[in-house]
Amino acid sequence: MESFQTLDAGRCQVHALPHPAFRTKELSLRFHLRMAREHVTEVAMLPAVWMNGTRSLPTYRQIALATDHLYGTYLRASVSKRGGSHILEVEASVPDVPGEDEAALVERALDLVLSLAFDHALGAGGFAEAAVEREKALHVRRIRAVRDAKASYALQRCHEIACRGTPAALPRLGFEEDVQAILPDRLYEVHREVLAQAEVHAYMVGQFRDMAGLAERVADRLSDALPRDQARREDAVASDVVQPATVRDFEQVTEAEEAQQTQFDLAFASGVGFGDEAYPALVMMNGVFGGFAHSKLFMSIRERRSLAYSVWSFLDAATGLVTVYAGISADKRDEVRDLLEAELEALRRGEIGANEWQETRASLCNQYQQMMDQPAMLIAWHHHGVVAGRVRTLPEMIAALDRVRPEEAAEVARSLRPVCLYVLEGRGSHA
Amino acid sequence: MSDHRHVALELPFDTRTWTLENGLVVTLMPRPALYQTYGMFATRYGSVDRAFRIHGQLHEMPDGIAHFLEHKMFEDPEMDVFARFASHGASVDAYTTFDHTAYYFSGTGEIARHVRTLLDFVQSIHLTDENVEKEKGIIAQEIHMVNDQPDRKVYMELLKSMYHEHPVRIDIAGTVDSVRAITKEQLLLCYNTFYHPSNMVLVLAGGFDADEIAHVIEENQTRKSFGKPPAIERLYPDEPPTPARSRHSLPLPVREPRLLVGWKEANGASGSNLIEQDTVMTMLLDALFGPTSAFYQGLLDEGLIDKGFSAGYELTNTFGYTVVGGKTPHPDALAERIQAHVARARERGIDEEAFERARKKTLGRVLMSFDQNAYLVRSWVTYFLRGHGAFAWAQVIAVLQSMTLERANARLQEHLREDNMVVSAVVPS
Repeated sequence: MESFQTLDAGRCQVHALPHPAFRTKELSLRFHLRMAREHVTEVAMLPAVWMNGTRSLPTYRQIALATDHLYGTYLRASVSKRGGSHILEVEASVPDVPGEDEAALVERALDLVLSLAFDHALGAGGFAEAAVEREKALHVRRIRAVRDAKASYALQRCHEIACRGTPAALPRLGFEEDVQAILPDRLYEVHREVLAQAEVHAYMVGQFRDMAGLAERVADRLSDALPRDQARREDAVASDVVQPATVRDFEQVTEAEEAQQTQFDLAFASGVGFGDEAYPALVMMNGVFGGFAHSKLFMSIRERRSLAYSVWSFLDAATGLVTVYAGISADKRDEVRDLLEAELEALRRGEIGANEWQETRASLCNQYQQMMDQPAMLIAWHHHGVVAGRVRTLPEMIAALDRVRPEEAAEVARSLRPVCLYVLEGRGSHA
Repeated sequence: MSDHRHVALELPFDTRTWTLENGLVVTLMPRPALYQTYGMFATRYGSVDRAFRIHGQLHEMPDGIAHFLEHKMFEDPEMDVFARFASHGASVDAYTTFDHTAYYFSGTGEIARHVRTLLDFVQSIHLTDENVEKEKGIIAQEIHMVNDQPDRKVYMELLKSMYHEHPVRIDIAGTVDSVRAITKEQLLLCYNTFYHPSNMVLVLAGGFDADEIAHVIEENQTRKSFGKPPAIERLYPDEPPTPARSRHSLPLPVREPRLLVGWKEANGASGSNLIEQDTVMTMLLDALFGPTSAFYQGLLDEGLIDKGFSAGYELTNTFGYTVVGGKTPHPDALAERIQAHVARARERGIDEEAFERARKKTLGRVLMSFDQNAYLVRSWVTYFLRGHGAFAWAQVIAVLQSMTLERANARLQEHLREDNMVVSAVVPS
């Protein structure tokens, strides 16, 4: 497949990838910046605030009407995090409609994306007092709702503890206690700061009649909209990788709540991040350990011992944390821990069967190849490389996996150091 | 701008369907420009098929048995099914719904091999007392996991309120107790009854060679013998058209309350009615409750909903319903607003402009869904197993293009009535 062509426009970069198979055109505008305690909650609120209206489309309903007229174009503004970096994204998925003027649809979708990010003023649309108050109430609810999704909440808590004291420990949505004090002018100020300081990347993937021309127009419009004379990018990319050598004592935290199931999360530091040479070996190691239904953890904890329905190991590429997750009965935590440590020891001794190795490599290649059919995934993959300071194409990643030897995966396994065991204990049962 | 009601749409792929001698229906949607192939082998057998008659003999099964059987299909003395797919770069999984069970793989190469493996592992069964017992602990954990999910609970409580007798009111996985009661012999009986090829469908979409795959399927199936298809008589209890209870509130340890309002269809449907009715309901619900409605904006302004508020419609052979709702700080107030909004709409009818906007939006969304092989396959399987028969995607677009406002208003009167409405809430305990 082709790779992204990048247009460097100073303050921002525009990345374009033609893809003849898609009927959907994907446009994405991404801002990323380091998370900091003093503004994490405000930054996290911004995408939702943007969706409340712009100067030219002052209500959410008017924005929604505009997308309906673009044949149900999906328009989203969202916040995610990657280690200690916040990523704010505005994206549009535009359908290819026979008989419609493609360029006109794309231009109008692009207008919407850009206006969501830039066409605001204090007191208008999303930054009007009523909109901010409404959004504050919704933001509190969003933060509280995180606790209702127990598996993801437990993983988040485990990582917060494992990364304590660093930006990577900050929650994606910020803190409930910050919300009440937020005023429209302060929020608008943070919005201006984000535009001024964040690194900005625009993406387009799909069939476009004049992709190069469009990329140039996007670059021009971004250059006009972004504040000038600001440092575009920091020279050194901040690393969020948790180093095993600097890990404090192993920490065990148990919290309890009324639930039928207990969430078990044990995080290990590998010291290897996305940009590191050993990253492909770490990916292979995690796959053999617990990434798949053929992996050691699944076979041992689920298939042989029936202790869990869900049991996986997750690799967080930004922090290099490998976290074993299992949904279990509260009284089985020690048994699960013994079993997973036995599997890890086997990995460390290099006990990796030829079949396991081949199954893991083929499964990972399949995952990466499937991403090539998904425009939004192609964009996320590229951008995560940008955030990590090292862009790898998917074919490069697949080739790198091919070169990893089992001894290298065993070596990565030997470097793993347990950082934190977080258990969200289910107490009692409800209807 | 062109009139989107009359655009001739060229689809990016062909749909080829035929029936094998053993009764298996096969559909191929080759998409040479895509890397991924998604393949699904599914049977018309789900959680609601708990009572049936074979050769005059009545069988009643414990709740959750179709889902239990889905788990056990991955047990194979000849191979580790997950590893077999994985070793050639594909993933495999399965799910059970109220009315069907589906096994699927997703891969980017060696598709012929994966198709053979899919057919082979689903068309053989290996049950022992020991491996049946072993599965009970795993399924118990799955049930606990689902019971801790408030969105799932509020949905199941809605169905329990809607239905007096129909087994759609029972959780697909059953309960820990009903699962404990399941035996090897019962599983085998259900397998022999519902996994005959004549009760199944195989559908693939993606980057494969259609002639090669057609040959592989024919060759694989000709080698096997399945005997005569059993004459299955499925038994469903009589279900009154009105709901079992109009309102139910379940306290759970949640931070955010949930509220769903549902309307029960008096009957299920089959044949071409399925797509037609799905289409009109999609447009009707979007016009009434979608983000472009004044109603939605009003609820948002008052803080009664968040942007997760949505409306959906489900229609099968034996039941059907509409569901509207989401998270809300004030379940009672939201239920009242939805009820009043529908009552007003029934008096005034659907706004024509909103209806045309919904048509335009739905058309774009259908076109974009063509980029998703998994969506194409799942939708095809679902419609087919519900008795729609083979169809091409152009039909779906034709139905959308010819839908009328009168039809939407008729459905509004017929379906969204107060006497078949139910309210389900989950509130913090």
